[in-house]
Amino acid sequence: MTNKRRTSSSKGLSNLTRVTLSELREYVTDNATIPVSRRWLETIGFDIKEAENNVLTTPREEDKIHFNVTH
Amino acid sequence: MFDALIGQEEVKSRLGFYANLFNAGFVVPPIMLNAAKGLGKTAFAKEFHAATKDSERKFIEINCGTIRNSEQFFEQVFMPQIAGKKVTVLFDECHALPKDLTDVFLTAFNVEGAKKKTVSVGDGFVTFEFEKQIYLFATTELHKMFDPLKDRLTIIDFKQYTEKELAQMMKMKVDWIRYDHGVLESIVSTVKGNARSAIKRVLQIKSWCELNRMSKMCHDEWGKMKSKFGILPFGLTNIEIQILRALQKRGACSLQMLSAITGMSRQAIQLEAENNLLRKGFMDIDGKRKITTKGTKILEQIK
Repeated sequence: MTNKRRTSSSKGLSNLTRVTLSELREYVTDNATIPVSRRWLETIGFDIKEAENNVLTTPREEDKIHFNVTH
Repeated sequence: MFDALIGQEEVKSRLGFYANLFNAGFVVPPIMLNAAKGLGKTAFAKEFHAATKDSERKFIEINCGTIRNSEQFFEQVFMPQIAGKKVTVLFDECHALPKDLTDVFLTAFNVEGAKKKTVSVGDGFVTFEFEKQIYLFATTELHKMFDPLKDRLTIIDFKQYTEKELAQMMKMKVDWIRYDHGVLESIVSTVKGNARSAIKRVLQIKSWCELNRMSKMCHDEWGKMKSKFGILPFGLTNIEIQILRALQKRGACSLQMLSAITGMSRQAIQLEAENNLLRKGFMDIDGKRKITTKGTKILEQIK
């Protein structure tokens, strides 16, 4: 009888965890880029191609503070 | 002072005092405007600035949600726009201030009437000049502010507007429209208790009147407009109606159950729908969510 070598990932364990959007917003701003699962994006009907194109073509706006100066 | 703004008499009185104080050459403490959304924090901040300004004075409105760290703030905003200048600064949505900038403000605003405060930032120093600069903060979520910073601010709380005040606001915003008896009251009952929704509604009415070349709103016309824009009694939304119908059909429900029925998250229901239903007295929470007699009656009206 041979001992099967265990793989590094145990059944039932995942690198993902659940967190509500409101909890997450306490740590990140609206403009933050957050890595999410590609499969989850597909499930909710998000157009991944379009998003990738946007990332490549849009200049990084998140470094700019939004403010208005008036008299 | 504050003649262009309706209601909030206590806010006007307190801000008016600080405007006079500043105009007399004294230092104004950092002020926190605490109010629910749409109650006019920014409008009051601008009027306060107008009451204190001279020809050089500028008003800077900063969206704190876009500040990532203190270095970025001092580089992009403070050094070019504030340092050494006569300005009124409004930190809007200040509950979103980053931690390291909050730490700097803890030192900067721990002044107790001093005219200047120099604080170290990174490798250098910056000076807050309170004789020239007024610092205002505004938030809808005071509970998210760091308590020690909150303690350093003079907090001014806003109240909900009465229906009479909302009606006055609408009349003032578009003063050429006349209303038949009872029409304005009916219109006000469809806005959600805040100034922003009252202004949005009167601008819809203005467009309607302009398109139909009329300057008077009668009951018939308001009825047509409600039907066209899908305006429901008491300004209820479709999702709020859906919740009321679910409660009527199923009896008392848990938040989880309502979430399953409507497809909305629990938090979205709490923030977007329940508040209005509770405020209007259409729903009650006693462990579980229940429709009230008033809620049942309103559903009969909608049928």
